[in-house]
Amino acid sequence: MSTDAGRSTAHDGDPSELLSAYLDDELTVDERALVDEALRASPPLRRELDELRATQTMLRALPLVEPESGRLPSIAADAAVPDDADSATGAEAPPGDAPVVSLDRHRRRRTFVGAAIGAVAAALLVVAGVGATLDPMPIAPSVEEFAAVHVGTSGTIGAFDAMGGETMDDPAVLPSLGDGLDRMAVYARDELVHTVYSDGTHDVSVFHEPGVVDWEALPADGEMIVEGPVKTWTGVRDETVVAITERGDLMVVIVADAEMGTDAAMEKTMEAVEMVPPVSIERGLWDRLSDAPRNLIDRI
Amino acid sequence: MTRHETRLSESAPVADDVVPTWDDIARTHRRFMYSVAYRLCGNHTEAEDVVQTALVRVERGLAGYRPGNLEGWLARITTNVFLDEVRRRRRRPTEALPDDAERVLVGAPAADEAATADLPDYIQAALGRLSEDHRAALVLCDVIGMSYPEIAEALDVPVGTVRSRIHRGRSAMREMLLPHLEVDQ
Repeated sequence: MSTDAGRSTAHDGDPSELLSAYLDDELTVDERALVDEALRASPPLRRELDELRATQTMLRALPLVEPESGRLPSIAADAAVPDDADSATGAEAPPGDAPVVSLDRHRRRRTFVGAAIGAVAAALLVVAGVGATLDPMPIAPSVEEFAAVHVGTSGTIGAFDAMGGETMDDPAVLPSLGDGLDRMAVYARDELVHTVYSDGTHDVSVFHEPGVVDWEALPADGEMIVEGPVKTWTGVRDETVVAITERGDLMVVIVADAEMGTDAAMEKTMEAVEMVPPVSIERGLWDRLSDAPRNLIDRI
Repeated sequence: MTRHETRLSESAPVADDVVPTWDDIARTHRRFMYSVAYRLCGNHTEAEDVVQTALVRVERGLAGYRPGNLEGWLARITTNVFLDEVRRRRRRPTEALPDDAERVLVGAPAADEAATADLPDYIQAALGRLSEDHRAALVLCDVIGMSYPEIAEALDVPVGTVRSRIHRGRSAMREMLLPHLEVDQ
């Protein structure tokens, strides 16, 4: 109990105003005696104290909060705007403050707000990366979100945003998937890299992120393919075929347009799975993570 | 050391008499900082932004950090980032809403909706209905376990103000949570 005689006593002599501090053991001796006396005389006050204590107990029992797991950016919905919005809302807009290097213009089947994928992914991934450890993290990927990101970005690639080009040196970013599916754009923020390939008609997205797949968390409606040590989950979502696998220290997710035909998309997806080379992250996750706030500091 | 240090920390806390490195802090106290931020903001997106900014301030402030109550210091930084953001938004009431509608301004009228949308938790939703000042004081007290003098130092207000804010905040929570409270009859 506190004996701080100098503590504020601005409670107008109303014991009910002291109940929280009473619970927190933050009253002076005199104030505590005042509340004790009032409690003995007033059942409603005791009731109020019990309710405040119960409230405090509930707050103290609040669980640990983690950043949302598998937080691959749910940026598709934010990134995509209706077709008729087109350039007016910034299909050409730079992604936030990040440097943008224009590559070849690509067809514009859908409008894409580049700013969203950059700025939102940055916000999400910098701190999502805080959750990284030196050991590969188990990731519970959201199949729906990967499919949505693919749908939201495909067909309108006009910008290349690679955080200083670092991703171009990443062996997991292939220049081509074959059959005319050439790399059209790479979006990278910290640990997540999204590469879009296109043959001019159909698109294939390859995402990779440090970590291992939490296989138990994947939807039951998919098919698990096991070839030697390589496991791959496949399924169909929102007009796309999705495959999830691992390569080295990376979780790799491949999404292909189902409009090329489900069988063809599945075939292309599995071909892409085969093509992604086994890689390890040369730089420690922590080094990468540390760079993000430090780069921010440098800019301030 | 705060009440919940062992519950919220990743691993063995940095010794109180050692100045930690930024890496130490981000590795071992990230969940702590995130939990503080989330309880204040009520949604993940804002909490992530707050933690990111707080980590920047931690890096800047480490040179002047004197070994002591590390998590109290981190909670103070995190809370002040949150409150600074609230004040910044208030200074610009006509600021256009962001394109991404989920990134609702902290303290803006729709903040409650964002909180409940991110976490269907009536306790968190009730916290989101408190004023930011009351919420900050209550989170530091009940969630983090800081003492009134520590909270007063963190928020740079008198202890009497802390006492008042905690009581107002807890009483409001009591009203909102009344149907859920377990009290002996």
